[in-house]
Amino acid sequence: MIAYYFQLAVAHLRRNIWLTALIVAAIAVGIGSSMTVFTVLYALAGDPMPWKSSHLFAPSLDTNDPRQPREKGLQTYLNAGLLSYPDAMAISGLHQALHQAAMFPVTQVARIDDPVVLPVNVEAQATEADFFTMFDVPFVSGAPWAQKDDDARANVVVISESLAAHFFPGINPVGRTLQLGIHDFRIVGVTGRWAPFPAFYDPLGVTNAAKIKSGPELFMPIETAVDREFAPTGFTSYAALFAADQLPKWPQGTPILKIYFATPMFLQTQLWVELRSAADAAGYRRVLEGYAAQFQQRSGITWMPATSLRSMREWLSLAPQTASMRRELGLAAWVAFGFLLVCLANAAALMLARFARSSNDLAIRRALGAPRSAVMTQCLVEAGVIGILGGVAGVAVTLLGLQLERLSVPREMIRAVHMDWQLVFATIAAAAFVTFGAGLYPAWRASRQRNVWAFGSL
Amino acid sequence: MLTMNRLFKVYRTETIETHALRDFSIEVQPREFVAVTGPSGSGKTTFLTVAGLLEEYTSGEFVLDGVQVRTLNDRQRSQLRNEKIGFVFQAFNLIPDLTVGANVELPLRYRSMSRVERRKRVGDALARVGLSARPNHFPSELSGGQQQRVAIARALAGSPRLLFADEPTGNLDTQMALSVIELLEDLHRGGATIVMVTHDPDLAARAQREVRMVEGQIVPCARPKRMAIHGTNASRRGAA
Repeated sequence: MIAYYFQLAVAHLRRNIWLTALIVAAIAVGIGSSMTVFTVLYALAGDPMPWKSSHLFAPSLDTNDPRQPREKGLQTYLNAGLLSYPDAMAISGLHQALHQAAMFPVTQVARIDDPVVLPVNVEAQATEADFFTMFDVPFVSGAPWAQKDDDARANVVVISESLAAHFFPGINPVGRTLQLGIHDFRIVGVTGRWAPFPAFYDPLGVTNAAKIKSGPELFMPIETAVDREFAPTGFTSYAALFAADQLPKWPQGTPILKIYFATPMFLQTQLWVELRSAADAAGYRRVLEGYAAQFQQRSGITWMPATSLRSMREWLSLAPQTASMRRELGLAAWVAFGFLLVCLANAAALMLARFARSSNDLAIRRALGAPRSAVMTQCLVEAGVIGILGGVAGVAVTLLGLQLERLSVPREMIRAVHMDWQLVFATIAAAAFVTFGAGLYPAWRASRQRNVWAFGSL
Repeated sequence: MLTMNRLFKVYRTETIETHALRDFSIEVQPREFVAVTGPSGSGKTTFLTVAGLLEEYTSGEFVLDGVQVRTLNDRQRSQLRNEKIGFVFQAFNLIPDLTVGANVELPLRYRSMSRVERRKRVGDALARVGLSARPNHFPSELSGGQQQRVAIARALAGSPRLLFADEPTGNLDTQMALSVIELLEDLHRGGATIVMVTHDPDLAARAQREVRMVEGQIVPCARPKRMAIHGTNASRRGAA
């Protein structure tokens, strides 16, 4: 019987082609705009490392006086789960996790000793040797540096395949020298493609947006970066949060970066740890609390520093880079949802008109023995067919919407903002479902039509 | 076949209460051909909609082919209507999107019936009304008389026990009207029970019995009861 209703629906749609087009357009615009926003939100909610993110945690330590009002910018850094460099290194140095790595992004000009090859401004990651194992970074050549290189503050780097191709086309660069600033670094490894999204290793979104979609171009030991006074990317804007009189007293002429890296009030270092299982989190929280107690004792402060240990997903929900976009898109989602409701209300009104035009046929069917449920089913099948057509048109609207979104969203999101078969089916299914819902009342009305007219006026 | 006893049908709005059927009683015997006549607003439409199970009545008793109608839900009423009642409308009421064959097949679609059985019944019904050659035509491609024949074929396809005809010749010219009424008479001779609503006294005169309605009630009818219509002059309607 459903097949019969389907045939009737198609015939009916072809008979009223303009009314059909109007309803389909209303549904397509509503569902297309909603699916566009949903897709971007979905991309933002993505898990950068779904296969092991449940084992990855971001510890944080807030040593600031809780009684003092938070400067807004500072709160942003706290939300990003950032620690001061000394705290991050000290907690990492406890080696209480399976793997641990402190990190911050660095931007440096890289060159080689060949005037023909142009220097490149590289987006680098200053981190620890465990980073590569913890985040499953693939290597096409060489290997990560060793922990002893971290300890020795060795001038070693790992570079990306694309950077290797720029400086050393056709040559294995392992063992060769790369200049960063005024320092020479030995290349120990070349990574394959590694570009997780969202880019959790760049919590403040300070890395060059054009480059982040291909992942960091260079990695160096974090202590080497500090020792060579490579400023974290975005350092200038961060330092500007603090008035000069807030800075700790250091001897005249001390480089600002030296003060910065030695002072617990400055938060710009990220720490990630890998635990053997999620159940180990409680134990690691005790480690953090123990460190906080030591900190309190050591620094003589009256308050206990606040600690937290967020899972990858918790961290993503709070990280400023994704959280602000989520807030904006959350609002956009409500607007899109409201727009969808308006479109569906229009579609429902048009379906009311459509079924009213069919009332003659439906009344004849009732007279010939169709129960109300059969009439309603026939109308709902027609609504479903309209919904599927609206969904197909909605896919086109979604594609257009995503193209527009790709022009406006941060570039690191572009890779995630795309249409796949899942989205195509989801769009069509959503359109069919909501149109079915919107068609319920018109179909119910159609099934309750009085039949007296069918006999004419006697 | 059909018994209504002290039946009331009241339409209510916020301000008006209309008694469309008022203490209405009628009995139609199997194989009977009854004409229902009366002025406009006398309740003939209401009688047909209630008797055809398209509307519920307010009070009274209604038994159709031995079934107490009051107790039935919509699905049961629809099934009873589908299996036991056929309709022939003044305006034919064919669905313009469907072919002649599909229109005739319509009541059979709401039964659990195989496609083969449906096709056979459609073929038989069209043969009875002389339209075997037109199953793939659309209603708009037929004359008014042919459309009414299709409507009769549709009513017959379900093998109903009771046929309601509402001004079946009202939209037809004299010749076509004659052919349609002769077809109804043939069906009656074949054993069908027919209740026909009409304004036309000549048409009513061709029924076995005439029931006259005024203000929702049956009133005495001046015309003497005809005992039989078999063998009547088929050209009478045409002469009129």
